Amino acid sequence: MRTIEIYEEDVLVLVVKKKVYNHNYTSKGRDKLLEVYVVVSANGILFLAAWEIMTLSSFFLVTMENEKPEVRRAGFIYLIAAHIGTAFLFVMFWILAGYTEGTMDFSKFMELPLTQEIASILFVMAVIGFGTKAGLIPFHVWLPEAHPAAPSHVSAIMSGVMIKTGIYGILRISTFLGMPPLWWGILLVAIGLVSGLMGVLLALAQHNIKRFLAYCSVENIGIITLGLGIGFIGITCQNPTITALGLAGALLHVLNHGIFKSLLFLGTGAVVQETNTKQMDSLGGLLKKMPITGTTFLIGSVAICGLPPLNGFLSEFFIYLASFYHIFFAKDQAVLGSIFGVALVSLIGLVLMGGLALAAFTKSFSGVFLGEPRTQATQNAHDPDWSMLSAMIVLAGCCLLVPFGVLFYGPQVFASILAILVPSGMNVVTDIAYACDLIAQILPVFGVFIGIFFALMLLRWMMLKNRPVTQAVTWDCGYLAPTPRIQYTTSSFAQPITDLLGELLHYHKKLEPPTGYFSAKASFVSHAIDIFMEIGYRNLFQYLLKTFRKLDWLQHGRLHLYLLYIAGTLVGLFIWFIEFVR
Amino acid sequence: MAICCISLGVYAGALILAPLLLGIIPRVKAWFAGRQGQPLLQIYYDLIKLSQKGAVYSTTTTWVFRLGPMVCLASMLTAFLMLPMFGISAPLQFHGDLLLFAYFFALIRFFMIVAAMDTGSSFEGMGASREAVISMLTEPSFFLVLATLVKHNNSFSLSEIFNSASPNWSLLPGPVLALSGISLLIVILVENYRVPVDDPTTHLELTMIHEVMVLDNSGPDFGFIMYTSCLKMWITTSLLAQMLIPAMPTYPVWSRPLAIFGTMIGLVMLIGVIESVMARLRLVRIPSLLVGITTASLLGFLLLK
Repeated sequence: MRTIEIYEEDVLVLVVKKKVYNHNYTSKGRDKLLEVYVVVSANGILFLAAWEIMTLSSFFLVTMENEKPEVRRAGFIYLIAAHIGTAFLFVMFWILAGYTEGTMDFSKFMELPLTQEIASILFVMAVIGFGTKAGLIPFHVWLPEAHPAAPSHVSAIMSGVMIKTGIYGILRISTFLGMPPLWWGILLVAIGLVSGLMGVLLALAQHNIKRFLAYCSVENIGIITLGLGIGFIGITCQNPTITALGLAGALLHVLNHGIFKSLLFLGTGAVVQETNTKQMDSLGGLLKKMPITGTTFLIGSVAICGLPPLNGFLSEFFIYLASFYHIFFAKDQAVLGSIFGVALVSLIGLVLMGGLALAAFTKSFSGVFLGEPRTQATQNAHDPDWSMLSAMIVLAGCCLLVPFGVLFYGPQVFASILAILVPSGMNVVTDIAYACDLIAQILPVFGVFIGIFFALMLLRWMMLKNRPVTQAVTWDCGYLAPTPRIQYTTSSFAQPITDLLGELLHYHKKLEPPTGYFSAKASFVSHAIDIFMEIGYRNLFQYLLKTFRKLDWLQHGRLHLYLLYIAGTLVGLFIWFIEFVR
Repeated sequence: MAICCISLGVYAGALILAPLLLGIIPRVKAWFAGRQGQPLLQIYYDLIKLSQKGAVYSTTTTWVFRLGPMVCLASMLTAFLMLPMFGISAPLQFHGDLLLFAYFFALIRFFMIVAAMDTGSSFEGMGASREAVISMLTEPSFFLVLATLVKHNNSFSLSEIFNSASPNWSLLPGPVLALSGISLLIVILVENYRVPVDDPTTHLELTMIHEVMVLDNSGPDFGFIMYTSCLKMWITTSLLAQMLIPAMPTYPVWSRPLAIFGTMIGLVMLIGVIESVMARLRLVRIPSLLVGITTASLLGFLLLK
């Protein structure tokens, strides 16, 4: 199975980076390579076992600092969410096994005589089960809890690699289920759009930098799912160009997000370690004290916004182009109105995500690294030592070099992966070649941009060579005693957007304005709540708790009665087997 | 070879002429106000003056602040090279170049914002924050106009969309052209920081966006920013002008470039008129305007068969 290879490469590269980093970040070095087992396993049982071990080991990694109550809470939320997801997967694999007389070999799953309804049920189960791991909205709630609790290199692995196993799972299962009906693709596009937009909006409203990055992962998983959905619609419509561009965009974004999100988490980890705070509004001016961390963080931010000339642009470019092709396709066949709508909505959604991501990352980068320090927290900060820095530098270099990698290896890698994903009748090779050829045409433009940039640098240097270059304070309108506290904070930076879309976020503000002529006290507090967590799941689980309390009388602690339960169940099953099954 | 020379000449000429457009607007406004107004070539004088000055940097700033103007101008120049000019194909073109074109505008925004935030001034932070929200709301409209053109011309490349030699090229149908054209005009106003969204003349007022973001720039850096603005005006108006002026096979070859250039001059004069007859919108009204043009461009897109 060639699908494995790209994942394996991805995983191994990142894990090696983080090992180096981990070594320095904490002495409690526990590591994991279990994602690899998940992706190489070609058997349902093995897959589930590896999946479970991955969940458990990442649970222990999240709860590394388990002396803190909030870390324990986050760990439990993660554990529960992961197991609810896994429950769906168990049922899904059992249903599949029912068709193969009990064997769970993936190769046996390939040509099953599934009816459309059963296939659809299995697909929805896969989306819920794997979507929980991937962090798709509304199953994302564990991400913003687990990431702030986990140490940063663990977050980097979890966000960079582990959540992608969810995407891998959805792809893997879809190969068993035959031709996808149209609504599968539309479902994926819809989930992708909701995850992308809500994810980036929630990210924008966060104050804690790791929660911010966690929500940002939700956004990027949304973009990936959107690409997958467009690709699936392409398969349904038998259009190889859309299929190739959508799936290639999604897969490339998996790799790209793995790179720049790990980079951003490692940078954040360095900042948190140096300053002991995760609050963006307590930081500021760190670029001077941590120049390399700051520079790599800036590169990661540019890349994650999908801006040229870095790798993030390419994957988003493919997905954009796929939705443009949808517009073409729908134009040719006037009947497929829904596809047209999907293409249009995904185009607008992508543009909005791009704009919001730009706001979100300029906010966090400038809040943490630019301006003047807002508190004493940054006083003693400095770049971490080389083992940590090298991981960041290598990842930042990857942001620049991935486009070349795609140029050289893209055709083979995409062709082998897509050969598994698309039905046998469809030939996507020429379209993959077309996509990679586009990269060959984009790269010279990047080159021109970089060339012009260096020419301008030279020009500026020549202009300033013999002229006075002086330093002064930032223009302060003649105000005599400016303090760093009058700077724009990240919350004030995001305020126009959170005000505009605050209803969607349930953004809470508490303002105590200054009163009187010599007012001494005033305060302003704002926070965004995750409506899925605070309203959806909280109420659901409280309802469940209340309902199950009514069964308390069953649990009384008397062993002999418990044995009776077991005996009763066995007898019941026996009767059921005799009467109905045989 | 001859075509190569012509396009080289056109692009070089455009680089030289670009500041002229920004010089026209104040003249129109002066004419409306019954004043003499600044010389038509004032922007050139400013650019020359700035290129001969030294620079003052705030002690708060880092290299990000120094990088900003260069990245902005480099992005703008690259976008400039991807734009067909007067019906001549662009030097840089490929399938889907309009996406990269639009993303270079986003790159400019990114670096304008971080460079402004680097000064640590609450003024500049305020401008940056407004820039982020306004650009976020403008982008869908811009992309929808581009998507309308893609849908109409069956092409992903700006050069093919606007090139009169392409067999697919034709004018958009009337209602679509009106909706997309108006949306694009507003996008031009927003992108170039003009009334009714921003006011380029109000230095040091709390109402403005772009001017406040570049408050701490001086010397060559400020010159770069100014020239970026000139190019931006040139690129955006040229986009709309090429959308409005179709290729007429019966007319001589030189008529279309002339008409396009005339339209561009007309557009900047129109901007001058708009600035003279109306005031800036209140900030809270701007999102309504931008959502409005998004709807208009969406409608245009849907109307197109």
